[in-house]
Parts: sequence; structure tokens; C-alpha cells
Amino acid sequence: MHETGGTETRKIVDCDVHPLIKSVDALSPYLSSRWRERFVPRSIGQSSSNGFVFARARDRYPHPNTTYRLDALPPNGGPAGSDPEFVLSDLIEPHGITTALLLPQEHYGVVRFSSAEAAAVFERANNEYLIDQWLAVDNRFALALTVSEHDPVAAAQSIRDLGRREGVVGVQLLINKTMLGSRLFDPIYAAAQDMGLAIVSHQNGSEGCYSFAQGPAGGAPRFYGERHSVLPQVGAANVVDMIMSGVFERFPELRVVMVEWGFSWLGALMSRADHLWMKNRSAAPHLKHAPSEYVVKHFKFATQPLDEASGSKEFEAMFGIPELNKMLVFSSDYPHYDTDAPDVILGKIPEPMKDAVYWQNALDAFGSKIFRN
Amino acid sequence: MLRDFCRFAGVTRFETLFPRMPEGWARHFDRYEWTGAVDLASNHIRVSDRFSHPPLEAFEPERLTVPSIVIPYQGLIVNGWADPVAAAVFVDALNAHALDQWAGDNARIALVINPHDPNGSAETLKAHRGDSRVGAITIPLTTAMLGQGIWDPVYRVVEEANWPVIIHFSGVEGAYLGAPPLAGAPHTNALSRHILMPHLAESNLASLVFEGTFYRFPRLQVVLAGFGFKWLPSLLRRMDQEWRNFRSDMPWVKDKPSAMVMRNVWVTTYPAGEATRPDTWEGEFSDELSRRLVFSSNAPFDSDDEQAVEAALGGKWLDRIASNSLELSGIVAAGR
Amino acid sequence: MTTEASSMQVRQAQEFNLGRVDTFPERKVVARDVGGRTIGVLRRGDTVHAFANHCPHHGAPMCRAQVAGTMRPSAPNQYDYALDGLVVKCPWHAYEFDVRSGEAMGGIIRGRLFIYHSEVRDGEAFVQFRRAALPAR
Repeated sequence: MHETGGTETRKIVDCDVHPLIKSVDALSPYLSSRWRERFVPRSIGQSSSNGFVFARARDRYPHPNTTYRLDALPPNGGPAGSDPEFVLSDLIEPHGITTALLLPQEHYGVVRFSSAEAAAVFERANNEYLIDQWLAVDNRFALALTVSEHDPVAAAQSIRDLGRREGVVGVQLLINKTMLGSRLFDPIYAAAQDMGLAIVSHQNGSEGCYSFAQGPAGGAPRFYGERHSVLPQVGAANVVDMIMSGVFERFPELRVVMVEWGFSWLGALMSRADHLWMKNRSAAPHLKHAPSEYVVKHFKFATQPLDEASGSKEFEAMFGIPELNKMLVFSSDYPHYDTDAPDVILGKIPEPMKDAVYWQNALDAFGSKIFRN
Repeated sequence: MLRDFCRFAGVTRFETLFPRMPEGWARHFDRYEWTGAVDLASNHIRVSDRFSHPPLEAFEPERLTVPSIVIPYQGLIVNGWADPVAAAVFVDALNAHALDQWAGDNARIALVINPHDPNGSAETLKAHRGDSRVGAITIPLTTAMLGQGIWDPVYRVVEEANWPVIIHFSGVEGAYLGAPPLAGAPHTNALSRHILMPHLAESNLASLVFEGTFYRFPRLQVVLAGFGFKWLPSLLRRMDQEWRNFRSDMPWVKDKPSAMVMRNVWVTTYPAGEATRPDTWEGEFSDELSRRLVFSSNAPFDSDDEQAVEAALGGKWLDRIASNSLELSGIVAAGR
Repeated sequence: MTTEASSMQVRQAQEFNLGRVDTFPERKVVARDVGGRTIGVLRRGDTVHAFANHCPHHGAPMCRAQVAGTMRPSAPNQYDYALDGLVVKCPWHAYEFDVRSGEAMGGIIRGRLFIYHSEVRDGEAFVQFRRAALPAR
């Protein structure tokens, strides 16, 4: 399914592929003995039969499905997404993907750690593991180093230490209790901007689950699917917060890639933000431009889960959001249950936007280091 | 001619309500800290971080030129009150005042529910069945989302009386403890909160849909007012998709969520200025969906009139909105 | 589905022996390669159901489906479980299909899972590459 656009082969960047460590034990070489003792179960009986429990309060919103695609389980064992060779043969090769952005997901469980030190140690070990065990395997893998909000100074240091490693293209910053516009994150943004790394935000499962995690508006949704229907709100709220807090006045080169937050709400959000801002400019003293201009300049939004429209008219209209062609990047969310099949989705992208969505917008966000070959 | 499904009226002094309260309660309320808060309570969107609020305007129903649902908006703010019992007394007094003073030829009142006591409110509502001054009810939003069974007693009365349920934020959402939070965490400014208010409509709509409320009350009509309307198609697609994935979690939802919205839910035009350039969004509105849009002025605050709607949306939409408004009025009047 | 359907007409007459019914487990989809394609086989009692390895939604491999029942459309807050062992659940988005008809449970989509004509004779299961007749309702 390699498609060609003009004289050049059309590249494909998949902005959402989730690698997992095979087990916590795999991190042992990256942990001091003290932290090994804390994280690595001493016997089989101590480890969860479901592997590492990395996300969401499972007893609060019991998932109605398996969280991963059953066919993505590696034939040689281990959880879905834990075998780089299988990801190559199952996803990357069949679909001709040029670069797969790895968004590690064990970190999604780290957001609820109470110890900032434990969070930093785990994140550092996991990032180093992925650099060694994934980026080294194939130059089609790219990594977003993952950091949480626990200790932004330590996170910034970690970004500066690892940010130049080949294949590192971004920083996955986990949303927890603080909105992304907060100055608390300035050390992280400064490090990312200095190193030319895009900030990546992906839902982490804690939203609406923990007393101090951000959640959707209103009250607690009752069902998993109900919660999932309104989850994009958290992404939207953080987009607004970053703009209103003046992040892009402080870090004018910063790029932010919003993954799995949807995009089809952007038209409503941008026009509302602009309209209300025009009526009440003094409420947002940081802003030098209309809010939507910051959105278009600084943000990208990933396709998955792509809305299914009731007909071609509605589907086309969904792509009629002004300047969407500058903001949309492709993502599959492999190996999760709600994956978007690359051939199905890529085929649906309107022809005039294909190059932008397949790879050009990703190149704009991450720079040329997104292509290692 | 348009009909206005959400305009507001308020008292300029809280003391006006004292004669409508039991005397002891009036004494309890009569303190400077509270009566002096009437201007704060009257800023129904509270998007200002300034230390002052504009003076109030007295409501004169005889000046209305179009049939309107009038919301005693100060009642909505009890969603941020600490005392749920005081809220009941206040809401009762305000409703009584509204029926007496604000109902008119073009003005029908949306009775305010005390959201801290749906059962008690339902009982109070029963007394108003058949009262032609009542045109709707309005439920201040709390963290108990609108699909939850605790609202059933209210919906039962409302459905029988053929009143639509108008939902509008009070302005303290995302700010006062106990009122529903907005998405995310505390926001950097009030403008952010205002921008994000439609999420409240989304979450409560998802709750109504997935809890099967419209199967329990098939004639219930819910009007989400003042949230704009462009957000709706994206949410409908998403809800339909989640339903396809996880229908088995809510098997009582027998139709796709968007189909239920076409039967039981309405959205309003204000603020129409955020919906300019229909060419960029109208393709997302099927004929069926575009029949769910009715007019709201938001007066006496920043408001839209017919000209504002036409300027933003164009004449074709204005006509459609006018006929939708008649349709909704007809459904309510006929008890269909 | 259309390409599969057209290639199907060519091979319509051909019948493949899947082996003895009692060698198939219940409540588990068995992937079998027959006539150059992979099909899913699910046994229920004395019968087998055979279906395409292709979800009508995004094309996920249905041979990796979980076997389950479904929740019948019900009154609010009631769960009415039915069709145990006759429902296959897509390994991706969990769409549920009745293995007898290929119909999506609860009418979530119009597209059907392709069900092959199968029959059992003297304890042996056979499949043909043509669409099974819809069961009487």
C-alpha cells in the first residue's frame, strides 16, 4: 500500500504506537538495587497476572473489552506491543510505515505515584530501555521521552540528558492534576524547545478516575463508553489553557502534538474561543493573536479514533475545519483495541490533505529527525 | 417570527423576595454579606475577573416582542450554594416572584428546580400543573448528571405537564466547590471557563443518552441553551461510535445515540457569532439535525436578536430556526 | 466483502472437509486454512459455524475473536444475557456478531460478518465458500 505522491514516495508517519516493556523485570538493568527492590516483584506470585498494571482505575471503569487487540499479542509471548520485531512485521511493514512514534504506556500508571523520586526513576529507566531495546532495533522507530508533572526540574534534566539520542523526537508530557498552561511546566518546555523536541500529549487513563486527576466536565460518567465519549474535553481544555496562559509567548518555537484526543471538535472550539475573546480581550492579557491562530501554529492533532460519519457529506465536512490541513497527523493507536486500521483510515483522508496528514505535518512538528533512513 | 427559548430575568434586590419566604427564613437571609451579593449572583456567566459587576436591569415582560421562555437565572446559582435547604427556600421564593411579576403575554416562566432535592422539587412542581404561566423548567447543573435516576421524579412531572427542560449554566461551574467542574483542572482565567462551558452540555447529554433517560421518558424534551451548537455533531459521532463498541454495557440504549438526540434534544443559537461562515460547518448538520436548532437571545446580557442570527448564519438558517421554534412550541403545547 | 463475494461464486461448488465435529472445542474459534483462505470455525454442540476472517468494520481478523454471548436490548438498568457461545466479538472494537447469521448484535452496523455455508454429515463438518442461508427467525 505504498502510495506515491508526485515524484516522491509518500511517507507515512504513525504518531501513536504503544510499546510495552515485557515485564517490570526488563527494567532491572536500568534501576539501582534499591529501586529494583521496589519495582521488580521478587517472585512470580507477586506480579499481576495481567502484566504490569499501567493505566486507569480498573475497578472504577472496568473495560468492556480487552484494552489491546487480541491479534497483536506477540507469537513469542509477552503483552501486546512488547516485541519490536512483531510490531515491525504486524504493523510497520504491511502498511509501509516510514516512522512509528513510540508513546510508552507504563508511564500512564506513573501519574498516580505519590513519590516524585519514584516517578523520575521509573520514567528514566523506561525511557532508557526503549532507546536501547527499540530505537536500536530499527530506524523506523522514533521515541517520545516520557515525563510526568511530579518534578519538572528533574524531568527537564532527563530531557536534556537523553534528548539528543538518535530517534528521540519528542517529550510525552503526562496530564495529571495541573493544566498544561501552568508555569510549573516551564523547565520542561524550555528543555523541549532548546532540544527541538515536540511536546506530545496522550490521554493516560487517569482522567476522571482519581481524586486529583483532571476529568471531563460535569460529574463522573457512569460507563466506560460514556467516559470515553467525553474524554476529548480534557485535551481541549489543556489546549485552551496553554494558549490562555501564554505558553507560546514564553516558548514561541514550541510544538504540541495532541494524540487520541480527537480533532473534530476543533472547529467549534476555535470559533468559540475567537468569538468570546474578541468580546473580552482583557480577560486574557497574554494573547497577542486570536486563540485559533495559536492553535494552528503550535498544535497538531492525531486522527485516531477517526469519527465515523453518517455519510460522505458529513465526512467531508468534518475535514472542513479551517486550516485543518496544517494540524492533522496520522495515528493508528496500535496495539490498542480501538485501533484505526492504517489502510482504512489513510484511504479515507481526503486526497488534497493526504501528504499533509500522512507525513508533512509530522515533519513540521518533529523536524527532520523523524526520518532516520 | 422567532421564539426565544432562553432569556433571563432577575431581581435587582434580593430583599424583594423576602415577603415570599417564611418570616424566619427571610430574617436568616437578611444579612449584608448575602443581599450585597446580588450583583455577583446576577453575573450569570461570571467571566469577569474584575472586582465589580454591571448594575442590573429590571425585567419588564410587557416589553418582550417575541414569545419567550424566561429563566429566573439567579435561581441557577444555587448549584454553588453550600446550604441545600436554604436553596429550596430561595428557589421557591424566586419562582413565586417570577410567576407573579414576570409572566406575561409573551413571557412564560421556566420554574427553577432545587437541584439539591429533586424529590421535593417534583412535589412542588405538581402544584403548577396546568398553570399557563409556566412554560418550562430549568435544572441547575450539579455533579449528579442529568441521566441519573435521582432526576426521574422531576422528569415524570415534567413529561406529564409537557414542559421542556431548559439547561443553562449558572456561571459558577468550574469555580465553586460542589458545582460541577469543567474539563481539566482550575483554569487560568474566566474566559477559558466560558470557552469550555459547552463541555457541560456534552457530559450531561452523554449521561441522558447512556443512562436510557429517553426510554424512561420518551416524550421528554431537553433544550441545551446558551452553549452554542457547533459542538454537537462531533459529540454525536463519538457517542454513536462508543455505543457501537460498548452497547453491551448499556443494552437499554436500543437506538444509536444520535437518533435519540433527534427526538428529544434541542440546542440553541446563542452565541450565534461563534457560528459565522456556515460553509465551514453546515455539512456536519444533516437535515434531521438542523431541525434541532432553536433561537435563544440570552437577553438581557450580551445577546442576539433576529438580525444577529441572520448576520451570522444567513437567511436560510434563520428560516429554519424559526420553523424549528414553532415545531418545539407545538410539541410542548400538544404534549406529543 | 464484495471481492470475497465475487471470488466466491467461482468456487461455489467446492466443499471442504473440516474433520470431525467432536475434535473442535466449544466456545473457541479455530482458524482453519482451506481452499487458500483462512476461515474461523466455531462449534456449538453438534453443529459448526464458519465465517470469514474479516470484520466488516475495519477488517480485523475474526479468527482471533472471543466467543461470548450478548446483552439483549433491555429495559434500563437490566442486563439480559443471551446467545451464549453463539456470538463472536471482534478482536479490535468488540463488535459482536451472531455466528449463525453474521448479523451485528443490537443493530450497531448494517454490514454482516460473512458466514459460510456449513453442514455436518455423519459427524464430519463441511464448509462451502458460499453465504449460508439465513436461519429462520
